[in-house]
Amino acid sequence: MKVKKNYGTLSVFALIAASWLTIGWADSWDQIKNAAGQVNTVKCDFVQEKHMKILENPLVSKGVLYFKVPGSLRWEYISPFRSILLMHNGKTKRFIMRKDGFIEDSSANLQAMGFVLKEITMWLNGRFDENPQFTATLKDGHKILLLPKEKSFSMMIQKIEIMLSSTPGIIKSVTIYESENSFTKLFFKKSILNGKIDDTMFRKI
Amino acid sequence: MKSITFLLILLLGTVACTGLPKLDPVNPSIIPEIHKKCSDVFLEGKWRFDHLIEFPMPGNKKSFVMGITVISPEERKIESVIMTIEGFVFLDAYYDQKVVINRGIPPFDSIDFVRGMMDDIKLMFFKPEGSLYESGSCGDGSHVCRYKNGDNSVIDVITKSGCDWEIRQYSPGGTLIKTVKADHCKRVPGSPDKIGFPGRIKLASFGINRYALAFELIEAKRLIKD
Repeated sequence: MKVKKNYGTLSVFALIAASWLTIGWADSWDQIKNAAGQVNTVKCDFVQEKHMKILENPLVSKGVLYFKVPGSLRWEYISPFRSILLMHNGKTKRFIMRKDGFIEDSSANLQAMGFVLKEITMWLNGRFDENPQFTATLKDGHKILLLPKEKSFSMMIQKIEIMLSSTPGIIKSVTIYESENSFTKLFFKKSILNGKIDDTMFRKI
Repeated sequence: MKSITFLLILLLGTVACTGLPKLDPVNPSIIPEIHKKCSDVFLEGKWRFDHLIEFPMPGNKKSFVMGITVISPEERKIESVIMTIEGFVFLDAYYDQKVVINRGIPPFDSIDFVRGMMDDIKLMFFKPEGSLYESGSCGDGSHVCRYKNGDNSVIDVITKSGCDWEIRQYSPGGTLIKTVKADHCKRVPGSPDKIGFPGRIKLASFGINRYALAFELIEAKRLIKD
C-alpha cells in the first residue's frame, strides 16, 4: 500500500526513461517493441514546468537526464537549486545541494523506487502496453496516452501524455496531470542517443 | 533529602528557562521605533513564497520537500502546496477562516496535520492577532513586542540586529510552545526597506509533538490581489 502511495512521484521518471527506449516510430506497439532494442543510452537537457492554480506562472526547473539500459537513471536538476536522483542496480538515492555540499535525502517516497525499477525493466523491453498500472493508447500526432487502471491511483495521477518527436527514438515532452489544473510538463532537448555514459554517472554524484 | 532538593532546584530551573521571560524596560522615546521594527517583520500585501523545506529524520538524516505558500495577511488567507522536488503534489490546501484540503496524499490528508501547518504559517507570516501590551528589551539587547491573546497565550516578536528576527509563542501558562527564527536576509522587491526578507526561517515546536523545520527561500514574489 505504501508503494502505491508513493508511486506517482516515481512514475514520472520511470515513464520518461522508458519512453526513450520504447518509442520507435511508432504507429504500433510492435514498432515500439522493435525499436526498444536500438537505444542503449540517452542524455538530454530538460525543462520542467509545474503548473498549478496557486501559480500565476509555472514554476520552472532545469536539468540534465542520463539513462542507460537496463535500468540506470540520473535525473539532475541544475536550477533553481541542485539535486540529483540516482537509480542504479535496484537502489535509488536523492541528493540535495546544501551549503556544505550534497547531502542525501532520506524521504520516505524513495523507498518505493525498487518497485518502480521492476516496472522499468518491463518497459525497457518495449512492453509499454503491458504495464499493469496504466492503459496505454497510441494516438494520432505522435502521442501516447496513459490512463491509470485503478481509481485509487487516478486520484494521484489523472493521466500522462507523451509527445514523440518526428525523429525516431526521441520524445518532445511528457505531461503528468494530477488534475486538470495541476500538471507537470517536461520538455526535452539536445537529446543524444547511444553515446558513451559511464556507470559511475549512476553511482556517484 | 538532598535528592529532593536537587529535583526542586532542577524543576525550578526548568520552569525559569522555558517560562515567559521578563522584559527589560527601555527609554519610552524609542518605543515607537521598536513597534515599527516589529511591524516590519510582517509583510503587507499578497505574497507568494517558494521554499525548500528541510526536516530531520531519525538517524541524523534529513528529508526535503518543496513548499509553495501564498499569503494574504490583511485577509488572513493562506494557500499552500507541498510537493516533491520533482513536482508531485502531496498537499494542496487553503485557509480562509477554515481549512480546506483540495488534494491530500497520505499522511498529508489529515485535517489535523493541515490545521497545524496553517497555524505554523500564520505564526511565521501574520502579525499576531492579540493586543500589543508590552515592549522592552532582552538581555542581549534585542527589542521585544509582546502580544497577548484572549486566552492569555503570548507571542513575542523579537527584532535583532540587521534583519534577523525571532517569534516566540507561549502557552497561557507561560510555557514556550514554538519558535520561529529568521536570518540570511535577502532583498526582495516589495519587501520592507529596513528589514529585508529572511532567506532562511527555522521553525521549532516543543512539547509532546516536537518537530523542527528549516525553510530556505527560493523565490518571493509580490502578487496583485484578485
